[in-house]
Amino acid sequence: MESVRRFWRQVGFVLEEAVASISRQGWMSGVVILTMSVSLLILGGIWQLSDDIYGLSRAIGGKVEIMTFVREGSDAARLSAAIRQFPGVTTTVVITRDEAWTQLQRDMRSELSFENLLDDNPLPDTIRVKVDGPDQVTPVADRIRQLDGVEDINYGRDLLAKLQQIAAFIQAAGAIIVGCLLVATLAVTVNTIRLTVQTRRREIEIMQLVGASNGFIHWPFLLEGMLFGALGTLISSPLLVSWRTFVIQRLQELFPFVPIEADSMGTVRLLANLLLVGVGVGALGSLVSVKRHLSSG
Amino acid sequence: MIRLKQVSKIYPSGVRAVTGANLDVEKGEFVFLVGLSGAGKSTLLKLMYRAETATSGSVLVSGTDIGRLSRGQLPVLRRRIGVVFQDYKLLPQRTVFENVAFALKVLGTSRSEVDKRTRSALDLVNLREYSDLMPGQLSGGQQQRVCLARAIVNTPPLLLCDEPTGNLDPDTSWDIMRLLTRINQHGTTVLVATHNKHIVDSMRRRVVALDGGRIVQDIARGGYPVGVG
Repeated sequence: MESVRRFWRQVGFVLEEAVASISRQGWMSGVVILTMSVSLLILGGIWQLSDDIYGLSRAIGGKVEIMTFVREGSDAARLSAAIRQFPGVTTTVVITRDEAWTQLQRDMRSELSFENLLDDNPLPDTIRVKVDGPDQVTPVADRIRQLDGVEDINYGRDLLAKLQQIAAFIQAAGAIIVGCLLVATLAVTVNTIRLTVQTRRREIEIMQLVGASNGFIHWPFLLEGMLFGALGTLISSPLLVSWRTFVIQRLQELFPFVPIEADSMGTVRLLANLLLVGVGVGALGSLVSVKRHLSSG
Repeated sequence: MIRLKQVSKIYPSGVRAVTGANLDVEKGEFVFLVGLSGAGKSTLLKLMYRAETATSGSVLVSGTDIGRLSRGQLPVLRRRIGVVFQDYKLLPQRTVFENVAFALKVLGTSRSEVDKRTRSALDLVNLREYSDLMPGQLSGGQQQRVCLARAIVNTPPLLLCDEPTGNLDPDTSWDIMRLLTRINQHGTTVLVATHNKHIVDSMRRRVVALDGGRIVQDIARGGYPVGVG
């Protein structure tokens, strides 16, 4: 029972020490927090940018529709209902040959008169199929093609393949850049936290001298590192949010036909991820710095 | 309490700090380690709380060969030893009280116990009224008393002092020696490394003299040996 109480008292001591040392070290803590927030800002900014461009490429891909041309004599409504059951299909709209004919005539009226050229409506019934995302287009198209009563389909296969290539490239390049930045952030953190470990070497020495275990000595630094990371994220957050708003606006201007959603959940998720990265990098940075110090002492 | 058997210490630089040292210190003894700077006094003390490990031979504290302790067992040894340094090694950003209490808090001692024991340690060194001051606001002698309070607050059975009066004037040095004598009277084994001839001569305690890393004299109730610094 006493050992449990002793443990909790040590936890209390560690927490107290971590918070007190941040304020006690004043400007040094400020330097570490600021360095971390700048690193996290760059990391988060690039991360979010690659994420948004990837989202945009998918959004463009998501605009792709599968035009399904119905064979003459087949029931377009029945086919449409069948397609709607396919996984990944969001909506299907039937455009009858008459509607299409009227529409075409209306569109082209100024240019030429169809009435003199053709007596008969040459167009087939059409079903416009929308799917969940660009990944769904090809599999859904393949299934539609096999349906009885489908004359032909058209879905901008080449454009889609290009977009998917671009999206995959952005995702891979983004992951590599974010990975590199993560390593850089860790390196910067280790080196700045090492300064605080240096200024506290006497504290470490005395802790060792009075019989604190090495494991116990790590904890205040570990928590301090996590606090540095959390505070760093907190500082960089408002800047990141405005950066995201700016990027989304610019992208929307560039691609006005694609609805880009500046969804707040995306921002919240980004900040939550960044907080995790900040706290993790801070903890790891502290651990590495203290371990180095203890093994060199 | 302490037994050194053929202990030698050669630093990585090649310096032979201690050579073939044999020493027995009984529980409750008061021992002076004397000798010139570089004679090996500090190294000998460091070997006793394992700030250094012996190159050969064995160092036994309370029957345990401390050279064989694992990293995990080392803190247990350290809790049984108080150490006083010439340069005090106080934490400059903490008050006198916090400096002394630190040694107990690290070990998870309860708050009421921390308060009680810190106050009585400060009482022993006559610094109770300086509790809230920072080390920088104290004189050298007062800082050394804080260091002493921190070393004994955990009531260790062994107290090692490395030149505790090295930076102090004669009067203040005597204050520290009187304190060490009182602590020794409470049953704590005390080892003091010093080259303060006057104090060693006056106190008539056991004197172990070192020269060039070797123990050259060990006198039960002696003075500062002639020819050793």
